[in-house]
Amino acid sequence: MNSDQFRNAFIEESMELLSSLESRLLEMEESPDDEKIAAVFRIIHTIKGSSAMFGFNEISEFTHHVENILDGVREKTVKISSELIDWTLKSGDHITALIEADESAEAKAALSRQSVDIVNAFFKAVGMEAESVPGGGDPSAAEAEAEAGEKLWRIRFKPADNIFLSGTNPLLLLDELAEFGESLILPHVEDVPALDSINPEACFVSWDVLLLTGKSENDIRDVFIFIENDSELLIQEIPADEFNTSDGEPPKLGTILLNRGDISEKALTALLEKQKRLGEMILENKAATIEAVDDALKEQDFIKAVNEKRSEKTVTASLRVSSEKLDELVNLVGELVTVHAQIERESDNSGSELSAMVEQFGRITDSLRENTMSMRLLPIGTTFNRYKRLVRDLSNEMGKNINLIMSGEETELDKTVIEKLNDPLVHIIRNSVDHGIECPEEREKKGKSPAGTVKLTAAHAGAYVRITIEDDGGGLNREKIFNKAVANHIVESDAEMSDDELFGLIFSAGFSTADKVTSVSGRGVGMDVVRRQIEGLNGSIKVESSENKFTRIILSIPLTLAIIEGFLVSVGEESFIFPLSVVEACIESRHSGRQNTTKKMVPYRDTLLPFVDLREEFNIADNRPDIDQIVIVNSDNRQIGFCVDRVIGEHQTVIKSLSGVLKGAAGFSGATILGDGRVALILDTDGIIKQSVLNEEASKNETST
Amino acid sequence: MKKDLESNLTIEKAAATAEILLKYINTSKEPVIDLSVVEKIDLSGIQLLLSAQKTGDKQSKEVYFTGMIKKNVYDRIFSSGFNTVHSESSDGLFKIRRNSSEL
Repeated sequence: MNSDQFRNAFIEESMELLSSLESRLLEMEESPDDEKIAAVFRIIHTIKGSSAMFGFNEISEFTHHVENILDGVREKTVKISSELIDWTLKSGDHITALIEADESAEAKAALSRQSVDIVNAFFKAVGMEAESVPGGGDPSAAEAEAEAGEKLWRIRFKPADNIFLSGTNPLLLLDELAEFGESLILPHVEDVPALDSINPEACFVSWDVLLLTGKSENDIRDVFIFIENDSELLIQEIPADEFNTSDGEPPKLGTILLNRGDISEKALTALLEKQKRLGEMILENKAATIEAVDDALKEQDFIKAVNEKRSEKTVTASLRVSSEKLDELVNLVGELVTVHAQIERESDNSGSELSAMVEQFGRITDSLRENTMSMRLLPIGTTFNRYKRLVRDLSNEMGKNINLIMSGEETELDKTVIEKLNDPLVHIIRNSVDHGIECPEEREKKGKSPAGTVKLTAAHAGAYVRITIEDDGGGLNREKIFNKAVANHIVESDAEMSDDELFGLIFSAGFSTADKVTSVSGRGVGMDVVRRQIEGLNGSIKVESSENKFTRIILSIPLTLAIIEGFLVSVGEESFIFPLSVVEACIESRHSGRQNTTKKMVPYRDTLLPFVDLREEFNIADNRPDIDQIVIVNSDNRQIGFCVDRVIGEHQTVIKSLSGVLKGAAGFSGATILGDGRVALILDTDGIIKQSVLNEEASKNETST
Repeated sequence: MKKDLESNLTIEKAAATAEILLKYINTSKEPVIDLSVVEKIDLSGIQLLLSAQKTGDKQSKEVYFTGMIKKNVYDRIFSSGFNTVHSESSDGLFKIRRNSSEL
């Protein structure tokens, strides 16, 4: 890694930490407990440590002050108040600004001034003296670095003979040390006398403890703080180069004994010259005691185990891979899927041996595709958490009391989809907070609890993720929307509209029924953008509402935008793909049997289903086979058929977006390349149904006029 | 004949336990101390068990322990850096040694 890569790693990690800082803080505000406080403290502490290590001194200095205040919270000298939360959130924002700041001296100076202002205001807000920052609050990079890495310590502890009399239990001190990290406890019992000469109330055991920990020498010394004066205590750092040798081998026995002071250098050199096993020679020559050699061998084993564990950790730890590389991998897998389809087609005409190999190749390609796609899946909670802050800030601004309840945060969705969902969700939540939820007085008048609720839920629904944003506010006012739509010439004043159609109007450009424009919303921009963004994700949006009860906005978003399981069909020479997730069944229907019916209906499971004839819909002139295939799909909570010539079957579909004149063409959500190199269009069933209904109405109108 | 110990091998009982153990080792040819009744142990107790072994060494006797040790007692012995090392020749007999030492 070069220094840029280190800096990038720091930036990436800090951004993640800052994002979790927000959610942790809000959790802490909601129900404060030591664990949550510690979590918030840890985040700031980590940022401080790593910023110092990577040379972001401005950040480390700033976070040091924030850490001091949070330390006060930990120590219960600073109360958790909304000011504390506000200022910590602001500090988080400021750290983000410091991370993202450009290198210009002007920008740096401005941020530096801001740092001072924020720190001063923060200290004031929590009632702490700014001067109380120890040492002026400039942590040395070395100190932070020391905390960041683990070190190996050798601790020699010989309690005072009379330690039992003071009520101290030395074993508890060992327990405390063991909690600091990996430890090896080596007791010394040479001084324990036989029963005939023992003072049973005196302590004769002493210990060497090897400890691998991120704690500092002071932390270790603190364990012994109450007995240090009477006991013998030696804390010695084993230098990294001593235990972490370049060949991965633990240090030699002689080195350990020498470092522990258990053998003299002279004696060791003399013995080494004899070229025998050192342990045996030391004992033969009584150069060290058997216990000392035993301890040294154990220390050697411990270091070996630590080194092995470290290298294991390196192997199993997760890797950070840039999202661009992952996208490239997805693209390559997409190409591989296409090539597989081509090979499969060619192998159909050749020997069975090749077919078997292609089949195997297909299975591997499938696994590779699934694995690659799963790498891009992230829990949607990563984006949900930021809305807690949004709702909190907005409700404070609007003087409303609003709780955000989230569920299904663990639902996974493609990374690129999650990123694109942020803006639409912000718009919808802003609308819920501003227009949806009434002010507390109004809610009380309506007999509702003064605190409003916004529910944000995510759940899997087949190949889609359904995200619901529901508020228990005033709901949509049918009359108001209708009047506004008439006034804006969107609908005729005598039009009859279903709830779905009417509520759908809120997604029209420039449409707002808000009486006043606030800084939050009401400008009539937002919901039309939301619809465009959701549709851009091949998703759909739906509104349900009941006046004075709730407004529920339901987003259905496809799991991934790159590769889907498709269902390949053909009409004449043309091929089309249905997303497999919407396909319910396939039935045959004799074309001649339906000749005279004007209404396009087919019998399916004791009912008659309407169907769309793709041949007619797309004006395909080839000869129609005698028996049609009807693909039954689930569309918008109902079933509908699509009449095609041939059903070919499942198809791994690498989605290529449509561009040029085809971009946004109704009825198609994309295209894919088939094994033979031809292009198949991916059908947007909802779009086709809408288009088909419009066409039918237009033709009816023509007939009637 | 094996010797049962009291349930508390702690500093409060250390003097009395030391006396009982010494008396037993002095009078027994093959001293075996049963630890199954011990419910609490601290460093003074562990030290007495080690001292009992040393007493045996001094008198050229093998002092062994026996009995199912309670988990908390075993944990205490282990976390102090000691372990129970079973004798290869006699079933259920063991000594207390520094962790992973040979018998």
